[in-house]
Amino acid sequence: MCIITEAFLTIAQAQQRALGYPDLPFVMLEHPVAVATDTEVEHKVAMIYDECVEKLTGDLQAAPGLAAPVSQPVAMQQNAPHMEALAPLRNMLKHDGADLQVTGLEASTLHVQLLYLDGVCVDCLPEHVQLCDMIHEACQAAGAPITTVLLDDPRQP
Amino acid sequence: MAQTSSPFVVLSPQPEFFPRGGGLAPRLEALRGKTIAFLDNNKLQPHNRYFALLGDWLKARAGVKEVIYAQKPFFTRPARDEVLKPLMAQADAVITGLGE
Repeated sequence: MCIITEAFLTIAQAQQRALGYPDLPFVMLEHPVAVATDTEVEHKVAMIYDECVEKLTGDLQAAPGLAAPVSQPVAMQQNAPHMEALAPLRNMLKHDGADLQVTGLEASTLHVQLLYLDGVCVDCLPEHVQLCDMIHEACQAAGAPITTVLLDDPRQP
Repeated sequence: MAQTSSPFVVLSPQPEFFPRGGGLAPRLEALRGKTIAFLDNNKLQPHNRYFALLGDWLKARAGVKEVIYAQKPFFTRPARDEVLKPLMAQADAVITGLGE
């Protein structure tokens, strides 16, 4: 199994094909990785831990007690273009100690999770509806045919 | 004045055929008691914190018995036999990566 970063998805797929291993499983880690605090490293590893276990065993139940911020396996390959579209918005949120994770795509509905990082300033974040609009606009600006954004927001009851 | 045009040839850098690799190893039934190896491409310096943490969590949370860390000599170079053979002999699964 390989771990790559989102930015290398296209190259990784080309290498899979060129080397004759089109089914070689890989897991995508949030880009970039070289410059990161220990907290950011922990956050990024937490985001892929479930999928690593799944790719090694095919059994998500093999990870009991996991405290990862994402509760469902993430279809990383499918979600990567949307994560890329959200990059500027995510960078803005990170200044206030928050981040976004695309957790799924059903037809034209994008599922996104708002994550709190260490030192989050909750009051500094855009309000729920406003953040949904910003996600929607970012996807549309990137040419992604998203009509609905469902934001899993810890501020929501 | 009439203009003439001639076709031009576009060359694709892709190979004419794609090789078939070997078979992929079957997934493990469970991680508990297994040995997992990380083959680091040596791009992250001074060390790969992602693999270190992931290895710690696989031991603590999934019951992995042992974690082996190995490195390629350089990220553009393939790993040599002296690096790969111990992994093939000792590890139940190998995770490779990671650069940007």
